[in-house]
Amino acid sequence: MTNKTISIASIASIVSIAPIASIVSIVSIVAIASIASTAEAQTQEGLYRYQDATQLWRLTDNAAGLGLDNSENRGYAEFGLEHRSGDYHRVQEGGQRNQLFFETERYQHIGSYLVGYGHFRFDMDRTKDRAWADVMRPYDSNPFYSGSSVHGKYDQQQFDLSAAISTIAIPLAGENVERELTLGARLDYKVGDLSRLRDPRSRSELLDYKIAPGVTYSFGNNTVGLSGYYRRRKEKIPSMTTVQTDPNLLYYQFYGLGEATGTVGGYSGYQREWVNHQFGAELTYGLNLNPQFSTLNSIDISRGAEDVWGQYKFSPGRYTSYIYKAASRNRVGKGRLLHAIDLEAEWQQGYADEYRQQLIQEKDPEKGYTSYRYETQITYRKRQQLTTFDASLHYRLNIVGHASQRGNLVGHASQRDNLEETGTQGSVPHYVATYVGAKAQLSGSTNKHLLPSSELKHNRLNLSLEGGHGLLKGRLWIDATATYSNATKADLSLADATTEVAQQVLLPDMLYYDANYFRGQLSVKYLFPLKLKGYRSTFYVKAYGDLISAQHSLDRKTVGLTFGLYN
Amino acid sequence: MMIRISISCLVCCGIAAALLTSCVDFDDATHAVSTRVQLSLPSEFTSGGGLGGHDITLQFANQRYVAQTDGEGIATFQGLVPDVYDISCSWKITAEEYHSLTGDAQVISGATVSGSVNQRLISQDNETITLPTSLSIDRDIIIGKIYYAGSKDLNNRTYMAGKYLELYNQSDDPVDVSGLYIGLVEAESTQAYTLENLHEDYADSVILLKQVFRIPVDANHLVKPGGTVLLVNSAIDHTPNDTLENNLLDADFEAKDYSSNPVQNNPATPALELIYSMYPSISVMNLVQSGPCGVVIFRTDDDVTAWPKTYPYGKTAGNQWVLCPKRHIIDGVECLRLTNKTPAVDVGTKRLYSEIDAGYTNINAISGWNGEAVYRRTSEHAADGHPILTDTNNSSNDFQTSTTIKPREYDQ
Repeated sequence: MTNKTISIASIASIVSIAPIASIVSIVSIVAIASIASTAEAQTQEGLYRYQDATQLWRLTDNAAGLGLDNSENRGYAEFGLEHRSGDYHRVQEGGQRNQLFFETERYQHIGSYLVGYGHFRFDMDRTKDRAWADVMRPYDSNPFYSGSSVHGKYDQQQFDLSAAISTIAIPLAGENVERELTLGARLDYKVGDLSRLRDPRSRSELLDYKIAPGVTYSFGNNTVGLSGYYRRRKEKIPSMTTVQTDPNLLYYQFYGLGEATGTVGGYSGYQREWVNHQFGAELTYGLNLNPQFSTLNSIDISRGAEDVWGQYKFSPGRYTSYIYKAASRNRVGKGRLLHAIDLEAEWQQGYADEYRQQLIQEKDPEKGYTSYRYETQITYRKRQQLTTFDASLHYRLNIVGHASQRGNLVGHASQRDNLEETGTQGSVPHYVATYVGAKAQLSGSTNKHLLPSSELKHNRLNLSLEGGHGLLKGRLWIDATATYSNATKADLSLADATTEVAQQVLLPDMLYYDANYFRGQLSVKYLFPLKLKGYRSTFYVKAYGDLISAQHSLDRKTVGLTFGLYN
Repeated sequence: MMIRISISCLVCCGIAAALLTSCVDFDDATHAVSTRVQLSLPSEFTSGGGLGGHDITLQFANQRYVAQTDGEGIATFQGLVPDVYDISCSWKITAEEYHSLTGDAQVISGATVSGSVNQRLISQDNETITLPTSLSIDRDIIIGKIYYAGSKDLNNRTYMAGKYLELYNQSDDPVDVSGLYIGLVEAESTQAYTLENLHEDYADSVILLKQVFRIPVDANHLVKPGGTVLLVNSAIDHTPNDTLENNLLDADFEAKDYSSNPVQNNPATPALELIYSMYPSISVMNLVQSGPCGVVIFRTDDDVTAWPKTYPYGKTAGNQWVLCPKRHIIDGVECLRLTNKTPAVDVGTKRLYSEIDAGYTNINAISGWNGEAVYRRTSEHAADGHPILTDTNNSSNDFQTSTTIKPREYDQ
């Protein structure tokens, strides 16, 4: 379990330097120029995949698990372009999209006692032919949003940053059983902006952050982890502008499943804030009998309460959500075979209380000052109801190689240093050479609106086969996935099917929900060493494509190209 | 090892099952309600009047429910969505019925029984609501149409010059409108006086007017039955500027513009007398394109220029509004502003008492400029064929909007 130990007395100093170390970690992520990975290209990809496959705590919310994952210092940075087109999409998602992104992540040991993780992604995209939603989340979430019926282009930018830090395992005074503790914390921070490029021009701004402290306690081969988190998400449309004012331009405010009010000039003076406070906790249990078997099981529950605010604290309603998650991730190793069996399930229940409010204008008889406030006259309890579920079983058989077999890693000075730091000295690094797998996923959603009663239900079963292999001694990776998706249910029942929203959004979307499809994904990644300013790094270029061919003559095509390096 | 796997899986499944069973209970959602509306006849009715067979309307936004009263005057609404409703009813009685029911022998052409309760919260099941009614003698001259929205001209610029007001003679006899006053109701975005403030300071006896005009008294101006009086700001043909605009060359009176940047006036059109304007630089009718845009007509022998004026409630400086006694008012129309809130029209911003206008009307654009006029529906036709416009003292029932209706035109 433990590879390095520290004394209890040093915990205080660790805690005190944690914020500084976190910043150092973040800086190290973006400081690509200082990266000095000299691992050879042939195994770099396979090594990365192996560590991704075996380090299970990184898949949880518990940052303290970083100290148990024994990750080497590793990371990558890549820049990519992506183009998506086709008509297999929902109305509020928009059609063709061109995207540019930069992404980097790094696992890094900081000093002798801390492990850090950082991730950064920047997305910039333009989506065409989008309408009816000026917010970032029109589906399966807060129903009180707004949008224009006029299709237009939308530009979106997002900065997504994550930083986590953990202690390595701290030994506790034990009797017969070895007992250890790790402490950690994670910060996810995202800012974004969604701008409509056609009248009425909205600009939705996003601030989304999550703070998650965590702790793990190990006894023998068992580990129990507990983390809690607070997430605050604020999306805001501060005001709207027009360039060429059409006097009859409608702007719609939604109240859930086809219930919407379209007002001529409704964008005038319109402003909204959606502020969500979410609290959650995750309980994790792990058993590690490496290399033969390891399992990590977690359950997660969270509650979110999202207020919607307008002028003078006007509020059309409040959205409350409960999310339950359970996951079991298991790894069984036997010789060169590594079996990965993952079960994941997520269940969400949400409801929106709708308010009918009245503006109260109060005048001070002394000074003549006027004050405004909204008074709630009726609360429609749970007028909009939502249930979503997503369950999957994923099996992957990895065929693992030893880096020494290729004679290109062990013996390399910098890599040896890493191994010494992470405590894998003496062991031989493994890499994934080939894998095959299969996945079954069942997902669905039920949206219900009361008074009047409308309901949308759609479920889907996806069955996938996947495989990947590193050719040319691991320099050329080919990954392929084939998926058949069966729309097991797609029912829509509306109180009034003649409304604009029904005709232009909900009914057209039924083609999307009702369509079975075949999906093929292919990715080709070529790795090559390159020496820059005296440092030799492994660079790569990846081309990928994703084709969905669906019923009702619908399709979606995605192609992308990324260029990056391991650091 | 297998035993440990089984135990861990069982523990996880157990906890997961416990979580999943503690799910949200959707059964306590708000449900539909039933309500009963009890009709109460006007106090002037001394010999009954028949409580049964009258339509009671409940309206919220575009949702409209109608139920008929039974012999006891109760209308029952089932499966109602709890909300804040405007409740109303109205029916016409003939002159003979009026005499019979009230015992009043005055000569009239007919009367209207109407009642309304605005913004009534209906959220309790099996609640009984009393709807009081009042009696109003049919009026000769009424406000028939108001065009205050304006439009966008061919260059996509705001166009305000084509705004107008129209009066209509409902009666079977010609009516002389000379000396008739037209008052534009206070229309500040922050109300100078709310109805509560008026109640507190003036005991519901006055309304606030920002401008007062008068039809000249230098000559009689007879309006034939079914005839109209067209009052404009610019008596020219506006149709070349925008297709939503009208030809106002034949207007009866024009509010002359004496500002430094005037709209085009027509010297051939008689001037509407400006009695008072809150704004020293505005001499035309200040019809606010987005609303509120309430209008009243009244007659009085008083010197209106001598009527008291007031600052906004609680203030001792700033703009001043004329305090118009409501007893002089012949007709009034409450035009409220559309908002992007729910409900889209805030009835709390009403300026006129329910005796003047129990409801309100509005255009369907928040900022205006969409070329819509509000005008009365046609309820029936007189013996000579001229339309009798709906006048139930409730603009919510009486008025509708159109972008194609022309001056002096009404639905047939």
